Amino acid sequence: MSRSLETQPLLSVNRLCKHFIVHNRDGKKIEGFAKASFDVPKGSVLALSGSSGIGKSSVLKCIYRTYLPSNGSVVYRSRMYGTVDLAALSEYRILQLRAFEIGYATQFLKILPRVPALEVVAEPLLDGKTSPARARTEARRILGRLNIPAALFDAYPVTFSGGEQQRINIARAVVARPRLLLLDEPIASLDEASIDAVIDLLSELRDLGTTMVIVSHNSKILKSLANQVYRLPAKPNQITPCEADRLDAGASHAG
Amino acid sequence: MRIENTRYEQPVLATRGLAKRYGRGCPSCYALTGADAVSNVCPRCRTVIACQGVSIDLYPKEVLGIVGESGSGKSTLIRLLHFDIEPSEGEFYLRIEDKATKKNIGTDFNGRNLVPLSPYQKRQIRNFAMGIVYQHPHLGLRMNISAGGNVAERLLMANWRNVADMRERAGELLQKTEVPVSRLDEAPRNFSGGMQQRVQIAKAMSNRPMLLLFDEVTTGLDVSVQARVLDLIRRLQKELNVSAIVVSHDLGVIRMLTSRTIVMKNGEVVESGITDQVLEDPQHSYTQLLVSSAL
Repeated sequence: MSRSLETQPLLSVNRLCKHFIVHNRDGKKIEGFAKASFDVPKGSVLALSGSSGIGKSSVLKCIYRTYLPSNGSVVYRSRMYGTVDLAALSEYRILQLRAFEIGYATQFLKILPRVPALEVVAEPLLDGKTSPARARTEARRILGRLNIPAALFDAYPVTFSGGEQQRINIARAVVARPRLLLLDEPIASLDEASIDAVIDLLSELRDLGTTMVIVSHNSKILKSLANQVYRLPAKPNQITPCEADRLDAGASHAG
Repeated sequence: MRIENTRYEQPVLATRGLAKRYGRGCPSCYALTGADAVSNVCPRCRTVIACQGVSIDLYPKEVLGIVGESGSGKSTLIRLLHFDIEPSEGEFYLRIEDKATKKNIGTDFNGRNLVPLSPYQKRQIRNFAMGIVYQHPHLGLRMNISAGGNVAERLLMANWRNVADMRERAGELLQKTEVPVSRLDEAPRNFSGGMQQRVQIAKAMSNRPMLLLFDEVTTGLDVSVQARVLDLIRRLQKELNVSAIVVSHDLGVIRMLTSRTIVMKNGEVVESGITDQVLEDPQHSYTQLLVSSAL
């Protein structure tokens, strides 16, 4: 691989915009965020900061395609498909990348009921390449690292405390060692000891080559984990037509 | 290393412009009905347009959800796919790739529009490649024939001939679907709703289909039974690695079972996308209404 390829960022977000049109309220337009631009080199950690409600979680959701970006591009150097724009990639390929390359932990636990914690965490590894026994061993190891007592492994996470649920979420997102990991307030409801455990696990993952985008206000995360901090630009006061950017946004990400 | 998986990016099932109308029809039927119209009844000739212009793709091993309120045409669509009814217009394609189905009906149908095929050919495809579970068990089961007999009937259609083999397969399937094997010889009319549904699922899977169709399978069951049936479907789909289409008006069912979803209104597709995107960032006004109406 040539050197120039090595130094190109793994993820490059260019003038990304998101707004919502609420049809049932006379087509009211709600701004999510506008013109977010940042690069994340391979193996590094970028922290997204900015005041509450400025659209940090929405940026992560646009990268993961839970939200459809309104404008701009999300250039990702994938292993499976080469360089792709996640904002425009086919649904099928997005789902494949989610299964094999991109992990995401939401702020709140959203998982299926009636599935024991160990299965929830092991599931991303059950892609046909890892044996179920090995997947469970790995899930047990990660849960242990995050100080989840072994007695809870067979219980349903919906019955867990907020902090435990959050750690289940993180465990599930990291178990398959994704190339790109998106974390939304990963330590918001954790105590000091758990925070250290999470940061320890994430540092290890980073050193193994995982690239991360983290939404967090925590100074420990910013100091000990993040290589760079990106402040999301303030929202446009009123209606900024994102469409107006379309032409130059399209032209500028040729490189 | 790049994974060579472009083969999987071709749909196993595709429809183009599928439509079904009940009535003699007139030139303005399609224009005067559909998502932007008040209803799916043509105001000029009173023809019912159950669905129109439906183009969908289903990828290998994927579960696709179809969501919409009563009368949106979702059950019509699934019946068209199962050859229960004939479309008025449009094309329908299957790509037969899996070993078992290939062995039985070959790959001659690949890339061919299936709509003009003979009833015999359609039955062949249905018997070897598909399994369906209906909302009402009496549509999918013979209520007076034993549970085992119901499964065996399906196996007979798929050219199984050995009685001992069929009995063994029926026992194995009922065990998988958590129907007590001791009730193998009992008729489904004696079973509870949830159990009838599980016998239907056993029957639908018996011929090892490449495609499973589920039409509102948990509607009318009480919540604890619903949960068991859903858990069962999820487990079996993963285990068997088949492609499936799940029709439901219940967003909870869609969220739990599917990876992509299409939304229908008045017989037309108004939106499609990755399931979590459709639920969290719905684009069409009807989908927004549907999502905001969820309990």
